[in-house]
Amino acid sequence: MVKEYLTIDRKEITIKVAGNEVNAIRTKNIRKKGVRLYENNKIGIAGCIGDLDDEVLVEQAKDNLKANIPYPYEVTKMHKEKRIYQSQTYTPVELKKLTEDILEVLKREYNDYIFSHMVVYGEDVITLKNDQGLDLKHTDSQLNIGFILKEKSSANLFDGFIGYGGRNFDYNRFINFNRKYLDAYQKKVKLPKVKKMPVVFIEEKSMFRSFFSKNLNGEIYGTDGSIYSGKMGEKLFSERVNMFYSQDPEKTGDLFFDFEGKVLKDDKIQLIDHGKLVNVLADKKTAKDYGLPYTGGAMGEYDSRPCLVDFDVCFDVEDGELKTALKGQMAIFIVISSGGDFTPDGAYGAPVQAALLYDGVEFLGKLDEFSISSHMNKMLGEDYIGTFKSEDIYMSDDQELFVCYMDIIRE
Amino acid sequence: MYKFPEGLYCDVRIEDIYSTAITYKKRELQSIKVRNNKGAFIRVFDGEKWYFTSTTDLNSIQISIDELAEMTNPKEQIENHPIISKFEVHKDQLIQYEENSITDISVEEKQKLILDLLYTIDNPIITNYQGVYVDKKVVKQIYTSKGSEIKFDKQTCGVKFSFDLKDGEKTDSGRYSKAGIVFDDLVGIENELEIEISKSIDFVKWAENVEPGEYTVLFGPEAAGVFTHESFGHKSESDFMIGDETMKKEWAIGKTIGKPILNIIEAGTVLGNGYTPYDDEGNKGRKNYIIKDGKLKSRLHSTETAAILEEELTGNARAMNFEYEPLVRMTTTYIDKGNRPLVDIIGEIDKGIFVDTIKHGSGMSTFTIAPARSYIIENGKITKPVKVSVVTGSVFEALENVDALSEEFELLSFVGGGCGKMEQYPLPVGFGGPYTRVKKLNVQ
Repeated sequence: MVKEYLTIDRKEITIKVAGNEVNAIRTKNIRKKGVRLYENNKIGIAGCIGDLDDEVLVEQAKDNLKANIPYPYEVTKMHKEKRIYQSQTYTPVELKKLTEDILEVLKREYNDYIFSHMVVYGEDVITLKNDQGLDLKHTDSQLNIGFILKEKSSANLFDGFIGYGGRNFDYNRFINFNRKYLDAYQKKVKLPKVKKMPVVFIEEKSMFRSFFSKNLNGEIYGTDGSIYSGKMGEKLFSERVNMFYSQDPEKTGDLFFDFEGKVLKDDKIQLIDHGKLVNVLADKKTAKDYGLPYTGGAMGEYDSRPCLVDFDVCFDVEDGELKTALKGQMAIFIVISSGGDFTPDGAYGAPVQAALLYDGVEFLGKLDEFSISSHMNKMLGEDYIGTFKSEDIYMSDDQELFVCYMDIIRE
Repeated sequence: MYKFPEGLYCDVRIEDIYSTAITYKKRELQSIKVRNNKGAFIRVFDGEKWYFTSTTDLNSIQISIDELAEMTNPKEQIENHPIISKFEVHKDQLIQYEENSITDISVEEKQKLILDLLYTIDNPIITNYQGVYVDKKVVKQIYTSKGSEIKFDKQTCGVKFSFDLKDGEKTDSGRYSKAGIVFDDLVGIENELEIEISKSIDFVKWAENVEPGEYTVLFGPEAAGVFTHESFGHKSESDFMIGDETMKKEWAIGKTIGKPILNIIEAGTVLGNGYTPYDDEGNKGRKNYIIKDGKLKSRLHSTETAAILEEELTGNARAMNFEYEPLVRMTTTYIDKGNRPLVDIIGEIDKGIFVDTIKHGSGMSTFTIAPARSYIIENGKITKPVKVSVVTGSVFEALENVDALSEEFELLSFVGGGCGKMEQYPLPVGFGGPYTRVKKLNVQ
């Protein structure tokens, strides 16, 4: 019998903001544990929130083994690795002060707006170990600032968002960037009279998540349910598209291993290589059942059997700058585009609730609401402009911008 | 039970949670999870700021109270603070599920239920499928420094099936779920599952892309429920309005929002996902009209928002679980039934879209519904299946454009998923309504 232990420790301080003022402080220190037993090609799992003794959980997991849940896969073994991504740390008093300092600037200089929501500092320690020599430990701390902004003269629930997520917060850089951003917010500009424009996404991951989580899921691919089933090795997109699944915490803000203990070479697996489909995501079960390369990507809750879940994709970054690639064109910088989706065959439509006119470096002003539409084949095909690093945009430590042409539909 | 510090308001919410999740992929068991977790959320208010913490060590709640209190500035006569004086005080035990408890049904019985249903899925167009059984029973206790001592329980259960379909080059995914309160609610549903599969097969075979444009849209009860939730429900959550004079004027009580046929109800008294006999501040749940005869009648409140806006409590302060503080959230939100037969409502539509089932929705200045299955309506009849990525409309105008409501009516709960607000997702909520016709929505 092989025993495996997963422990997730999360400490968190949250400063809640309502109507431009700090109105609440929340602290949290929660441990979640999972025990997995593997015997005779079966798995038994038990878990708890809190600090129940391991031996109690082992007994509960033995009970769960009697359910005869098949698990005829080799347990990950002989890999010891510890990584620390912890950089800045905050106490509740320090985090409250940081929040109040930021609000002081925003209130004074942008008093046409109301700022609300929260600043969160979290520390995570996640370990996965078993008695076959697997011993993985991820230590991390991150700051997330998220302020909803609402114009005092507007009857909307909210009109925009400012934020930062990362490990190395630079207060001055945050203030300076958001001054430019909010200055642009105050200038209303008109959408250029063109049918198609370059559209810049800072959060393209959420847009692509549902589509690629389905169509590059190895199980769906292997059972012929993906629109890309049977197309391994075929060119699907532009040659300039190199798309991958990442387990690099500096890129994803997440763990360096999955919950089956898989650590990827170079922390990534290529999915699209110069436009060609080269991999789909496959956990141990999917790889064995469908004859696919084992890529990892198995996650779940503390007491779940790990399996493929929704995932984000990343793109190789262009060497050049966005402004050069735009060749003098204006672009749309998406602030909020919520509620859109892809049809099963890849057509995309979404409203844009908040966006700025952008020349690749400077924001020119705020646009009225409109909608965007396209198709996946175009967004990563003839309409793909590229993915670019940006030193000017400061919403994360390593800001990337995904850019493609899209059809613009005015309200 | 607890020693509450002087000069402060304090409340303690303890949750004892039992839950089951049984997952099959095709007919192979993937996991059986039975959880028994306990935790507490503690709040302290000093008249200026709130201080929160959560713990799984129920023996250390007093320590947590005392530690939070050290961060505060206590006030004399805190009980006279407008927010504190608004809190209700109840001493009540409302335990409804000692009989018919899902904890008394064996795991083997639950497994058999889901596996028997999986054996009804058998069609070559279905390339992959998954079935899940879930249940949850929560016993909550709330103790407050004003003297409330409340204990109540809530129970839900459900099955959910998701399946991938492929017909030639065409692919799609479908789902069917059935939510219940007691285990017997889930027995005998094979026919419903078969009907849903058959509709999904028909859809993948024949659906074509919609021609984008402005349409009259007929929402089925599932879509109407999400439409109501997203287009208006979030706007009625009063925390968005605090300190915002423009919002208060725009959404003044008595304002005409829609036609007189329109009544929108928000009820914590409805059994199901949104059932909230007491909210997470210990205020009683109730049935609230938020729109009556087309006019704004009330808003949804926590104790704080009701005090600040000087309105009545509504019992809508809910937290996702014991790790979080209560926010103003919906319970079960629905348009009340109309009085027109569905066949007549459809018969009046020359060109429109019928949205039967949905993938998700959202609501800001624009609300969105992403349909899963939709159909063209032509010359008064539902005809061809059609693929739509999103239906959108202005939250300000959409309710004005509701012009017909059917006498056919259904209230629903999703199995899995729920409402998202800030970081607290998913919160189980109820929804539904009549077949609802809305003019002038954008369809892409």
